[in-house]
Amino acid sequence: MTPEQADRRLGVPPLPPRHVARSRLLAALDGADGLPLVVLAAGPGSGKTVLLADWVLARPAPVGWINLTTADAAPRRFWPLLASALRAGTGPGEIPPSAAATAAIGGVQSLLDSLPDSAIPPVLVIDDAHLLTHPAVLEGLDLIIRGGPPRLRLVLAARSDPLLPLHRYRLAGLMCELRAPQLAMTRGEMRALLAAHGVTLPAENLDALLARTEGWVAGLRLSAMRMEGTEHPARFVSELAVDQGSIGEYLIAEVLDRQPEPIRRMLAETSFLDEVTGPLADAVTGRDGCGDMLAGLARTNSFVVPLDAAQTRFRYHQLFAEILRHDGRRYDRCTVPDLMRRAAAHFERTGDFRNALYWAAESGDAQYAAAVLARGGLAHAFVHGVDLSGLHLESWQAPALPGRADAAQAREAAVVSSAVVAVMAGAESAASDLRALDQTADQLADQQLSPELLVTAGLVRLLLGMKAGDAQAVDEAAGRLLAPSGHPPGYRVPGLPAAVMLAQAATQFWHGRNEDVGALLQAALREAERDGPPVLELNVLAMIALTDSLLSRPHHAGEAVTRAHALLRQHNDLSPPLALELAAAVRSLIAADLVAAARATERALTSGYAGFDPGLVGARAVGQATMLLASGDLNQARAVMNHASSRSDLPLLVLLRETLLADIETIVGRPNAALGLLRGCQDGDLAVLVALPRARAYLALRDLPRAQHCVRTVLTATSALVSRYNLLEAMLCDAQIAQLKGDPGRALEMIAGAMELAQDDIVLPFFATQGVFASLLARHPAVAAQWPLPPEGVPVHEIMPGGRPDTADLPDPLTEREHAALRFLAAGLSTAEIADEMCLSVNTVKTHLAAIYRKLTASRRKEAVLRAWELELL
Amino acid sequence: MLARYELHIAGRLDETAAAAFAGLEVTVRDSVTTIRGEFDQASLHGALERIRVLGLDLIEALRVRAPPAGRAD
Repeated sequence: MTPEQADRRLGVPPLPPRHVARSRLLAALDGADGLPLVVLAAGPGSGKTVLLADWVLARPAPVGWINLTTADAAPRRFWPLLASALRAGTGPGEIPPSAAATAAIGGVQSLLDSLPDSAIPPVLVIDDAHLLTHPAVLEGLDLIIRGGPPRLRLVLAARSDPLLPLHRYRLAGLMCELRAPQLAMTRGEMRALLAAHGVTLPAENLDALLARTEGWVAGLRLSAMRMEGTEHPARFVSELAVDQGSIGEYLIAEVLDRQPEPIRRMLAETSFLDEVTGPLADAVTGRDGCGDMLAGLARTNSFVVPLDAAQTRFRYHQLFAEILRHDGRRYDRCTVPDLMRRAAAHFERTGDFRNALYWAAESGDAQYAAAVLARGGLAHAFVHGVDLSGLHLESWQAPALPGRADAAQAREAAVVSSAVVAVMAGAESAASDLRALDQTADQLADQQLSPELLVTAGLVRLLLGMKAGDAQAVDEAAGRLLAPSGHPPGYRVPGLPAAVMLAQAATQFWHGRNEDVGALLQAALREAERDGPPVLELNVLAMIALTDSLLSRPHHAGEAVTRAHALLRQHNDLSPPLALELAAAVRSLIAADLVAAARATERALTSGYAGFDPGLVGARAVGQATMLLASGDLNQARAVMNHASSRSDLPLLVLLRETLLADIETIVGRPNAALGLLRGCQDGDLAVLVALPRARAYLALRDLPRAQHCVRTVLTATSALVSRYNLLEAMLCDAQIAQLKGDPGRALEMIAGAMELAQDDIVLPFFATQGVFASLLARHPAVAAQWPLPPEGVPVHEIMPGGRPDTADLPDPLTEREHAALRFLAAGLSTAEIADEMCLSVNTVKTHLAAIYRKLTASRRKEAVLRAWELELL
Repeated sequence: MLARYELHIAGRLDETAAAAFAGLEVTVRDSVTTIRGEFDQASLHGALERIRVLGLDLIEALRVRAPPAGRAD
């Protein structure tokens, strides 16, 4: 079985017990064979999914199937999912894996082109297609539907009409529709269903049942379950006929009433889970035997759906779960947060920290979440790059220790509170938190700590060190975690050594200490390959790609990128990490491919959680500003660099920021201001990197001796910090000086040297200085002919200002809170509801909304939401 | 199961929004846009979802009597 076939999002759901085939509808589906689109639009419980599953399972040709969820409806996840559904459906080898990567960036056409050319186009079923609301996804689907003779047929099942231009498809005869009236059960189908349950009814009762349920499939199934094995089924129908309330609620309550109390209670108490197993249900309800009850229900009841052949995992039918949750209110013994905490405790016991952290967060219990963090959750999150912002730790309070607390309890409490501090610390407070920690160091380094607490204590120091930008603290913490004594005998967190080495390498890199970075990253990669999760291997590869790109080692970087993409194709649940997008931006920028660089920058800006490395957020801002500078938008570049959220105190990033700002000053004719900015950066290991912007400023001042001196500093540097790119820039600068001194011979010599060094993969410095050497090149056509140029097909005027993505135009990015408010706004919540959701006052929400309108230059809700769609902020 | 509905929306629809409701009868009066049409439950919820996604302000949704028989519609 390939990983994709095991993916729950892609499987055809099993048919329910006592399934009755509906031949007229199957025939209607078969009859639509030439059409690019089939839509099944009707409310929940109309039998859409079961009908399609029946149809698909009987089809000779394979069919791709997506069980859509809200999370997968965003373009970034939807297109790769669609490509893997097709791969799983059409069999391996027919669709090149690269199609998924292309589709991820919206290349629907290339995905279609990659489909095998067969007489019968493949079919793709998307269940719950009403969740598709992103304009980019809808546009892509529209292209598939209207793109000439169908290469791919879509079957969409939706509770409400999909947001596609259905009326146009209707007019053009492109679509077959099955709606509530067609999906409703006929008298014959109803009789067959009842017969399958061993129920026979007199004719007048059949009519009454059909009239009351209006042929609603779920209603009829529930009725059949209710009547199964009863002596007087007709009496039930008469009672049902006079009931005036909601039929679904009435029927499910009826069916539940017939369940023995323990089963009913178990169903109610586990109804909040997306997926239930026997042991999990045992833990949540506190009673044994749930696994058998679930398996029994799945055999007789189509509302408990088995998820695997062995019948160990189940989920509840959506409608059923809703009513179960309501039913749960009868039991006031436990509240839902209590149940969630029990689920978290179960996952913690089984070592599944992903789910333990998830349910700890859902339960809203910060005390419990903090304890999970200390007992191994932090190590898991650190290795897997889990976003911990949902844990509500801001409401955590140090619990009062009982008077008779022993030393072990006190030590555990100290680790828990330090873990909370480490997760919550900002860049400003991290240094003082670290110092405070040093004062309690004895407690935390205690050899009597349990192994998982010892590891957590080590990670706390590492994290605080990273946040404070304290390379020495990081090295020390990493040293302890990696030492044999760091992981006590018998206790190992898979991937932890690799994650620690990655953190250490990143910190050293951002501090400009490159000597060991490469070796550390290679060691991290070996460790991650050996026992780390794929996401960690991906993160290590991404960091290798980024550091190699920044040090202009394109071949090494390219290798890491290739491997990272292979991993992404292999594991559908992974998305490209920020470092990988930044690496792509840097590589494109160096090659002066501004269009590709703009695209990569855009992806980096819209990528979600940045992970534990604070340097990446700063690097993203530098990348964006460099991009803006290269396309000539100086003001925006300066605004991005000066914006508070992008300021990082990590030495390399500070230096890159000052360099950029100085270059901008030089370009706008204020070289003295540039030199002033750089004055603060002339000491320390990184000083050699400011020599070039200084040389450019002196050049602008026509102070050739000083410019020459700066250039020489770079050309003669032995530091590993000076990359091929820097050398090349220095040579071109030298050529410029020679030209100004009236020595064209030397200028040409330096240019020739630079070209040789460029090896065809560094283009940007040539692109930037083209104008300076225009007359020299005109006189030497042989040199001009070899002058490196940006990739062909993109006229220069198009990549200059205006060709950038809109996202870069947002001078003042949204804060996290504003972004959260924006999401609620798009979901149609009122101001008061948003306040409620975000636990804020209405006035605070109004302030956030005003800021959103201002930043998005929108005057009202609708405009703000539309603009946010445009900018792909949502 | 088809029934006639009117959806009232605050303000005038711009081009994107108007295109989204093509195929339905759209009129504007006193800066209230009215969308009329025959809907089943799935298409009605689809129209409401469009209104939500576009960030429009829904004032009310009414089920209305079919126009009197014999009248040209």
